[in-house]
Order: sequence, then C-alpha cells, then structure tokens
Amino acid sequence: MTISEIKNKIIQEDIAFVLSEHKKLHSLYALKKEIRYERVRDTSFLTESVAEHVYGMHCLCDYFFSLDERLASADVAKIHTMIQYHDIDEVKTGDIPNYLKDVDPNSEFTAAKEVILGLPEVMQETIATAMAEYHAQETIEAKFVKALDKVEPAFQCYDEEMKPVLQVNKISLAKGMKGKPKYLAEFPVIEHFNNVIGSQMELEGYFVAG
Amino acid sequence: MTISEIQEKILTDEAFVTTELKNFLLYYNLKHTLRWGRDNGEKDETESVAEHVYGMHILVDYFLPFYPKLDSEKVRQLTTWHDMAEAVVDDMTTKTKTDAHRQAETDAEKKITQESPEQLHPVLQVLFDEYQEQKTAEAKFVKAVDKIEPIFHMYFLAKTTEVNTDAFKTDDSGWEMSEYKEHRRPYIANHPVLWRFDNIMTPVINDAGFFKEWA
Repeated sequence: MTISEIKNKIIQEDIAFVLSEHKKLHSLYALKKEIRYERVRDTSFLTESVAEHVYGMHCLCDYFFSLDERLASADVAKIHTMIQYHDIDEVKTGDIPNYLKDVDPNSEFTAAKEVILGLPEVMQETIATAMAEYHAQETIEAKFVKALDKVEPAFQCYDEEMKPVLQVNKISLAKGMKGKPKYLAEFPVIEHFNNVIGSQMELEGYFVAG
Repeated sequence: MTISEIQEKILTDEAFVTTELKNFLLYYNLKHTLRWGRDNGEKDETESVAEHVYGMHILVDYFLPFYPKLDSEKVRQLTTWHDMAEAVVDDMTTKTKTDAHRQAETDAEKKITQESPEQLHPVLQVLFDEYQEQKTAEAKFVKAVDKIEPIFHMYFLAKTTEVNTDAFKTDDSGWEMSEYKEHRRPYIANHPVLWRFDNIMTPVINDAGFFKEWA
C-alpha cells in the first residue's frame, strides 16, 4: 500500500486495519516489560515510568510522522527533543494523571524552566527553545508532539495487563478521553487511532461505567 | 561557554565532570517516576530496555553537540530502534552473548521488520543493517552511547539509592574489570569525551560495590 492508501484506510475507520496496526506497534512495547540484567519486576500490577511513556512516544513518532504530509518539512530533531523533555516538569512535581489534572499549564512550564536551568549548560539552550515552542503550541512540531502525548496511553492501555490499573483508578471512557479531543482534532489519523482503540477497549470491558 | 571550552573542561577538570553528572541526576529520575497514580516510595532499581533507551536519548542530547557533523535524525532513530530485537529475544548482557544469540537477534530484526506497519519496513531494514555493520559514524556513536549508558545508570543508582548491588553481580550479568575492558571499553575509547566520563564514573561504581571484582 502507498502512504496515502494507508492513511485513507485509517481515516475511513477501517476498524480491523487500525486494530491490526495497533497490534504491530504494540509489539514494540515489549521493551517496556523486558527487564535488563536478568532482573524481574512484580508483574501483578503493571507499572509504567515516565521514561517508558517517552520511549513509546519516540516509537509512535516514526510511525505517525510518515502519515502526515504537513510534517514533510518539519524539524525532526526538534520533534524528538520535545518528546524527550515534554514531561520535564515532572522531575519537580511527579506525575499527575491526565484525568486528575487541574494544573495551570503556565505553572507546569515554570517548573520545566526551573529544571532546565539545572541541566548541564551544553543541553540548556536546545531544550529551553524546544520547550518554549511546545508550551506555545503554535508550530506543527509542537502540536504533533502534543497529539502523540495524548494518543500514547491508548497504546499502553490496550493491553490485558493494564486492565486492573484502569479498574483500580476507576477510569471510564470519558475520563480516559478527558482533554484529548482538542489536541487530536488537527491530526485525523492519530484521532481515529485514539477513537477506534478507545471504543474497542470500551467493548472489551477495560473501562469502568460512567 | 562554547562547545570547545566545555570539551576542554571535561577533558581537564574532574570537578567539572562531577558537576555535570550531578546536573544529569535529576532528569534521570524520570526512569523511576511512575505514572497512573502509582507511588514508588521504595525506588525500584530495576530497569526496562525502554528506560535504557530513554537514558540513551538524554546522553545523545548531551554528547551530540561535540559531534556537529553527525546526522542527528539518524542518531535518534538508531537510538530508539537499536535494541528492538529484544522485543523478541530476551535481553542478554554483552559478555554472555553467544553467536547463536547474535544470530537470533538478527533473525528477530528481520521478523520485526516484516511484521511492522508497512511504511516502516524500509526504514527499519536500513537502521538495523547500519547498526549491525558499525561502519558509519552515527552507528559507532550510538554504539558508544549504548555501552556507556549502563555506567551512568549505575552511577546514578550509587548516588541516589540504597542499592542491592548483589543483584548486579550474578554469574551471568556481573562484571569483573577485565571483562568490562574486553567487552565495553573498545567501543567507548575512541570517543574522548565519553571516555573521560567513563574514567571518572567507574571508580565510583566500584566503590559502591557494583563490580564483582575490580583489580
């Protein structure tokens, strides 16, 4: 298939195709569960670190990037810098789940700037520039990374081992989708992925009612 | 400071390198910051391959400015995908890897390429081949970062947590100095800035008890 045929199949909501693509991409998530140095983790309740979320976004970037012709002239290095550091404020604040978030984005950005000032000098300017752009949400690169940030949990969560996590956290479909539509609307391919996977998870009993 | 001045300081001023490491420390902590409302009051010192890849991306951001001629997009992609075979074949340390395991990794890369979404096929084939062949400057740089990232990981564990270092000293995965030299340093030694960091971190790791035998 050509890129445009793949894109059309996704946008026309060919559910089987989207789920099949999801399955292929989700196989890359095995590296979130593959533990180094022959160690093991308690798998009775799956965890995910911020670092693993960032890894997932790097992988998804390479997939979705090629499906959006508007990104053809985008600054790829900047996209990866934004991915790597988009949650840098969490060094200070810890992770706050999206469905619980009631934080002023400006305060997140202030925290991010403080952390950046503590990084080695050779990294500061590149990261500060990328994060200011990400916070402003005006460029195609910044919007694309934000959309990846919003869709990545769909790849993480559509996994049997995540079911208990969603149940314990009492996450409904509405809660899971909170705050996402406005960031996904500009990226129809990503938006359709998010919607198809969300509906499928609802059908398969991942979410609590409500 | 300019890049040249920073490089000069790294190569000549140990206190400067120690400060740079301290500045890294905070951001490395996101390997241990859990999502989904989970509390990790007891810091988990284990590391997933995904977290190793994340650590490599940080190091790429630090070290890449010293290599202005490298293709940064290629470096990023090689970093993200270099260990993907381990999605099929379990992670294995360099010293216990056999030819059979290396072949299994090559086969796994072919499988991943074939089974990946169609538009990724040509990209992945090129990346896997380039990394295995180790001919381009980008592939060599990423290999060096791959080899030194565990040293950063252990250095930060040594500095931030009460680590059960015995877990790093099993027969299969533990390192003696001679093994470390044989398997890892050749990849790092051609990169003076990385080599300098390695020289400063390894004694700290040794003092913390990560190496089986440091003679």
